[in-house]
Amino acid sequence: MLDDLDRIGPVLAMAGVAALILIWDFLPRGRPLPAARGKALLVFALVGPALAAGWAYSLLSRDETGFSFANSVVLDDFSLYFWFLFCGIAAAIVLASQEYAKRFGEYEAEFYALVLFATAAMLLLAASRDLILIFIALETTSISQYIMASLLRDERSTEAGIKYLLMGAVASAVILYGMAYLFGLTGTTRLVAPDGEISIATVIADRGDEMRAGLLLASVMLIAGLSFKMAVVPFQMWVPDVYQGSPAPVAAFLSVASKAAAFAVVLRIFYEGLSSEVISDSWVDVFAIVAAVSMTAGNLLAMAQSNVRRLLGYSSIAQAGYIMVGLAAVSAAEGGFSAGASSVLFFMGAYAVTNLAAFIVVIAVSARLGTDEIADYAGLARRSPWLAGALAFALVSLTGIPPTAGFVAKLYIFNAAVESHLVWLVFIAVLNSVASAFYYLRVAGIMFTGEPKSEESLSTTNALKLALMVAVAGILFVGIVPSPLLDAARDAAAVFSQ
Amino acid sequence: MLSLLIFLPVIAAVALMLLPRDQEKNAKYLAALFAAVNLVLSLLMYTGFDSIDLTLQFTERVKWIETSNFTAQYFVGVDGLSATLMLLTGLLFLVATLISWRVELRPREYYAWLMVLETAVMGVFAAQDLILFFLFWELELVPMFLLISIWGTGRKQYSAMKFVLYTLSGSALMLVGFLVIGFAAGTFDMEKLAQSDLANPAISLNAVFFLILAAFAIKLPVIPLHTWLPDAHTDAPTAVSVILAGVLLKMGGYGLIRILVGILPQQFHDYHVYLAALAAASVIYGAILTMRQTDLKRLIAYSSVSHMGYVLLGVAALGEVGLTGAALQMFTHGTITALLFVMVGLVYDRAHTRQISDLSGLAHVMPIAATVFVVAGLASLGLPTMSGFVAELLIFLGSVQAFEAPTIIAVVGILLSAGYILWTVQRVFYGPRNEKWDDLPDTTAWWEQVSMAALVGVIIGVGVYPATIVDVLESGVRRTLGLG
Amino acid sequence: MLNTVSENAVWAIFFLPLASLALILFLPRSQAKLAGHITATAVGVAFLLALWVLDSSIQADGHRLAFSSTEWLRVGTLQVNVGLNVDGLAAVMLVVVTGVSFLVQIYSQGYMAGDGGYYRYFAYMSLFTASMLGVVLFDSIVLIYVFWEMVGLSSYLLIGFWFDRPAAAAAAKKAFLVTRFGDLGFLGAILLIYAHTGTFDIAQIHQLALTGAIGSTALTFFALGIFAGAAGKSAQVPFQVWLPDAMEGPTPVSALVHSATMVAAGVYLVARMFPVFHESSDAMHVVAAVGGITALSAALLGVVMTDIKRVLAYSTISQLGYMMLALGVGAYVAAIFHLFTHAFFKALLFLGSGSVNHATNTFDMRLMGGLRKSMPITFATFLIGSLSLAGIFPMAGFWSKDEILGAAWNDEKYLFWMGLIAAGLTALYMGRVICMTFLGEYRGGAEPEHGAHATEHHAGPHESPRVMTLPLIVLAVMAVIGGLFNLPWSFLGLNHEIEHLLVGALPDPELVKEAKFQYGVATLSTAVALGGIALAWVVYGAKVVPAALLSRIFKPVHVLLENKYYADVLYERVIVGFLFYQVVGSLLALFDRLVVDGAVNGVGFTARRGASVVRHVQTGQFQTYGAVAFSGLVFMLIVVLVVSPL
Repeated sequence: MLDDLDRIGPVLAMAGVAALILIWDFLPRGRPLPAARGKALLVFALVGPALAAGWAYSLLSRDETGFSFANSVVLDDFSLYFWFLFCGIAAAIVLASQEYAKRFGEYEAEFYALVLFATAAMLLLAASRDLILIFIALETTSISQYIMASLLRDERSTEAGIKYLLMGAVASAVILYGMAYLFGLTGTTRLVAPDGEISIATVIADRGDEMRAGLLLASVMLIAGLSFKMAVVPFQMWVPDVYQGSPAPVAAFLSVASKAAAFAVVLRIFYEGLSSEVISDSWVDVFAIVAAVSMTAGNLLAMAQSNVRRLLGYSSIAQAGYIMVGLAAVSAAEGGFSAGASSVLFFMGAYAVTNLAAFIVVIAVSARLGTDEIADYAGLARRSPWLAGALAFALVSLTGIPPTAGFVAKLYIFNAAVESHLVWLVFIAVLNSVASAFYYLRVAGIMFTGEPKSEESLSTTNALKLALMVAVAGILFVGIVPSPLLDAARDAAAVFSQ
Repeated sequence: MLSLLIFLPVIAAVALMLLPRDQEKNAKYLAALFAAVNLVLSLLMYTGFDSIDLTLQFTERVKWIETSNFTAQYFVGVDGLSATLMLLTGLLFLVATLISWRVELRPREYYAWLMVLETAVMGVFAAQDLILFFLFWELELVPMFLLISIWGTGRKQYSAMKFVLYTLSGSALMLVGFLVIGFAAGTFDMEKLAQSDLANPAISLNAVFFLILAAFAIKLPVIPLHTWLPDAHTDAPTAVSVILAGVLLKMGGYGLIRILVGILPQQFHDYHVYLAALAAASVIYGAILTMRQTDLKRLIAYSSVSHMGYVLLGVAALGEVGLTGAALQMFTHGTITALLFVMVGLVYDRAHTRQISDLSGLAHVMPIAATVFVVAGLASLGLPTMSGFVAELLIFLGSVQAFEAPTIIAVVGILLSAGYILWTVQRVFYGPRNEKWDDLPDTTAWWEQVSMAALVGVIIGVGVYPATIVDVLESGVRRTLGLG
Repeated sequence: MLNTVSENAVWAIFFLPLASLALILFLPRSQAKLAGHITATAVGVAFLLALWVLDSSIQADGHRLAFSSTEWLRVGTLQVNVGLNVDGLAAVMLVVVTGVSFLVQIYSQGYMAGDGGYYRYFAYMSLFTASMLGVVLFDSIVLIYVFWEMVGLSSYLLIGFWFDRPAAAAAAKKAFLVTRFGDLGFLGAILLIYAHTGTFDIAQIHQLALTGAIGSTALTFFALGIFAGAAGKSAQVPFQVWLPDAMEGPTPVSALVHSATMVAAGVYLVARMFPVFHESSDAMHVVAAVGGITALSAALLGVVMTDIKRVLAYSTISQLGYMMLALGVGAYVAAIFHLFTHAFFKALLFLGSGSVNHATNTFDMRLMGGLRKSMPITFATFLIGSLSLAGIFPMAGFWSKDEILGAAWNDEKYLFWMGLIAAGLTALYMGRVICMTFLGEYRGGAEPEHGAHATEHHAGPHESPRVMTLPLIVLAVMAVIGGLFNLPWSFLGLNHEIEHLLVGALPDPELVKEAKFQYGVATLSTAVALGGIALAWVVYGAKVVPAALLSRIFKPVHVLLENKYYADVLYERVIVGFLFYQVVGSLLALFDRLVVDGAVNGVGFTARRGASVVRHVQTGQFQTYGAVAFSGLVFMLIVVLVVSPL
């Protein structure tokens, strides 16, 4: 039993800190709120990711692996990869939010708590191998995010929250349908289990052919439902509205963390549970098509945006499309699923640092200027060269131009696709990255050549600077020395090659 | 050695950015210093190069990315082709820093980006691994984008974006091609690829050929993929035009030889007649449009389209002579067009117009500038004793053996080029003294005169005794063709 | 007799003018005056060396001096060598070029005195002399092409010497372009011969041609290509248009470049490649016909021009036509002999016209007249030159021209008649020039226009300074005795010297047709010439028949001639200006902007338009979102069913 708890320690740690923050916030104290509260909360909130990461690290160094809680949770390189990723993201968001969080007023503490809760659920999500557990974790993240989205309590924010909630509800329903089908067909909710035990994988292996139709229906349902969290078509419509309406740090969190979590789940379900050739050929095609449509739609629509958050919203749809290319890259040749999976994991990491860098700048700007209009970014380079430089660099990375993480990530994921003979998809993907250059570089150009509305320079908190510096360094480092992250991704993906 | 040559400019860029704001007046000295050092380095490399030995030289090889299914290495080295083009790069970037002497707007960033650009170009010429090649190839985009859109003139945003989108479209397709090749051969090592037969590729090698060709055809540029060039040239600052025409276009020609001829010779041979026809068309089309231009920079830009057509013609011949001629044409066009842009920039600097119709009789007020421009012009129209002639002669001699019709059409180009050059000289520099320009100063600044002298020296030197360059280039060509 | 010339000495001939060029370039502007002396000295020494070379080649067996050649450029099997090729032909040309050049340099010191671009002038002149010598000296067809182009360049620079005159700038450009048009043929020929033989060595090419190793069509195309280049430089029809305009350059330039040497380079080139032409009868016919037509049509134009230099220019074209005609009928020796004599008397005539201009500040003969009194030396020498050109016994021109006519008579009769009529016209227009310029009364001249003469105050026309008249006298002497070097019979120990030299230059002496001097032809041509002079006297001297009357009678002809057969209009206005620039040019430009660039911008535009259209789905309405999601779901199901049916 203690083993089990040890193996999900990071989850508990994260959730625990979140709870403590709420309790601490209830402690009676005089109004108006003391100024130091913000700083204190920041430090307090940082403990969560720190503790979780530390615990994960100790697990890693003890190379603890294996199942727990009756095989519903698994601790493997895959889980660890995502755990570190989520901890990093959470920490970055917390650091970047110090100034922005003031706007939440008395709900500042709730904001930090919710970030940690959501992260905790994601940690669990990455490690769970049981449909029920997956669904519960999924809902936990979603619900905390619904609240976070509307935390500003102004009209836009509330609208964003409602929209997010409604779409989420529909999506969850679809997912639930899919899961139910799967359970009905196979009589189990375990995706895979240690040898001997019955699991979805084993059942399909035995009697996959006769239940193929049902399985296909289920997989389509799951893909569609999860496309809501991955933010790809067809459940992507909420993205721009929510990114624009919800608080900037929340948008950042959604664009990185919850997307990553969704892909983790998809990898688990399809590469472990539904990996049998009987159906994999079919869902690969679905992934491929979703990828193509998402990339194209995302990039096309991003061109027409005048608001940087909407632009990043569409861009995140397009980026998710690229990741999907990796999902579809299931090549019989190169170690089954590992090639595609590792490329997806690597891209996830690269995308995380890149998009975080971009969003951190956006957070800083909207905290200071209270605007997200691209027009207001004109001449940012003169008002704050480092913010502008960082954003430009992030955009370059999103375009996929060296020497950045984005470049290597695309290179690697396209390579996986070519090896799975998906040249047509790669073709669409590269053309898309050309199109994306148009709006990414346009923003960069505006920042460097435009005339600023005012000359006064933009300062920001040291916490945010730190987060930004780390992110930018990450982009550059992964861009030039990708091997460490690549190795990690490969080890994590190795779980699919058995 | 090579790595230093490649990355010294980046160090320079960092140094420039760290320069305190009140020191930014001195950025140019720092940049010029670094550029000079790099030129010296490339000269050492060039003189140290042994044109008898047909293997890669000064090689450096480090594992860069290595996974079960994807291996890219940091592998640089030079053969005759690379060595010469890197020498050209070193020379032209020094010239570029010198003629930017009057840049007042954010000089630190300006020179920093220029230096990053040098690294990208050097890298392209030195890379011996497809992925590394691609990396450097793309690296050039951001500096160019910013250099044009910040320090440019006219519709600079549009032109900068156009340049980027064109290049990216090409390189995107090229990337697909590279990945297919790499997967088929199990390596991205260009040296290995040149030997290996690409068994069962994911798509037909002919398709791959065209995917890769797209990138180089855009860069060269070949009609009808050329319209980014006049815009980019017209709106770019002088130094950037120099670099663009001088070395960036050469990346296209270099790629044609190094990658298409080197790795896909069979496919190249299947299509080389069509390429030759396209080349001849480029020569004539470019030349005729050159005559129509009213803006000096646009005029030279279109003349580049015409002159790069010769490069394609020489490469398409797929013979030792033709390829050597093409390579030499790249080198000479680099120096000649650079000089032409320097002179145009010099005129624009003083007269603040590039409209030919506004200018006349400048030879009276700026005799030195006029003389140098005439020299550059004569070189560009392929006058013997200047480098351009040798290159074009070799190209024609090479291609006439492969296919006569395109050669004959292309030969007509030398008449057209004489036409537009002499007509321009007549309109801009000759004619009665024009009091409107009476107070234009002739070139006096040392940094102008050094640049001009250096380029004129190279142009005439190579023209009178071409062997210095030709022997080295030939060794590179022989290696590419796999001749003993 | 001297001993054989050393290779270094021959190289020195080539490098002396170059050295003078370099010296002048680095001459401090304050010392610009020295430029003239430097050039004159350099060329003078070169001339002496050339005489030595001539002597040696007379001594040498086969009249050929063997020199080693060194590699200049090699790529794979392709190899271009630099080597001296000194045979009789080269030796004769060396003497002509350096000799005339030397005299012209001396003359120029007077003529160009006080001109703003004094040093520039001599720099160009040195460059020209060096390039011309290069054409003569080297044994590789590529090297010849190299210096051929350099000659074109120096001609361009010299014609445009007064670049502030729009006319001069235009003429310079025209000359370069028209000649380069011909050079396309030359270059094409080089490419062709390389493709077939893989060599550029002239001797080898001759051997291959004679042994029939080269296919006859290829040979013909090769020969015609060479001839195109030659015709361009020698201003043969249809390239004749540039030479008259070239008169915009300083007169000494016209004398040296555009009459004595450069324009003769075309003739030299054909002579140099004579064995190749000899093997292709078609090519020979073309050369002869073009020569004949040029000789006649240019002579006709000479009759109507009022600008003395233009008359001489057309006369030059016509005489070059003679030489080509001679080559075309195989009279190789006669052609070069005529080139030799023509160099002297035509240089003389141009320098004379310069002297006249020096006195009157104009070239318009209608403003001259009566100059025989004020400038006797110029008159006398000019008269001699004219008689020599008209081919009056015993002037040099008589002998060379009659050899050509004789050869023509033996070949094609129509060529002979063309030549004969041209001879008559030559006498006519030269007589006209003499009458209008030197006879009658002085008609005032014109005011000085450019710096050159502004310094001198004018008390009516006056004889030119010694430095200018001396060259005239020397040339006059040559114009008289030039014929001695190839008299039909031996005389004063001179025995067909030129013939021997030239024939020695050929791989096989049998190639030349023996051009017998024919008394019939000689008397006939002399009679025609005298007739021409008489007619000139009647019309322009004694004015028995007023010229105006004649021009009224022959109005259409006269108009046609005055407009130079409308060739300029056809070339510049119709073909280049309208068809090429206006029609083709603007169509392409339009295509480039609308189609090529338009397509690209179109893509971008459609993308953004499309985006803003699709954007309207993004209503912000939850209903639409749900609908999209649902339809997407359905679509996926369909896809699955399509791609993998159950």
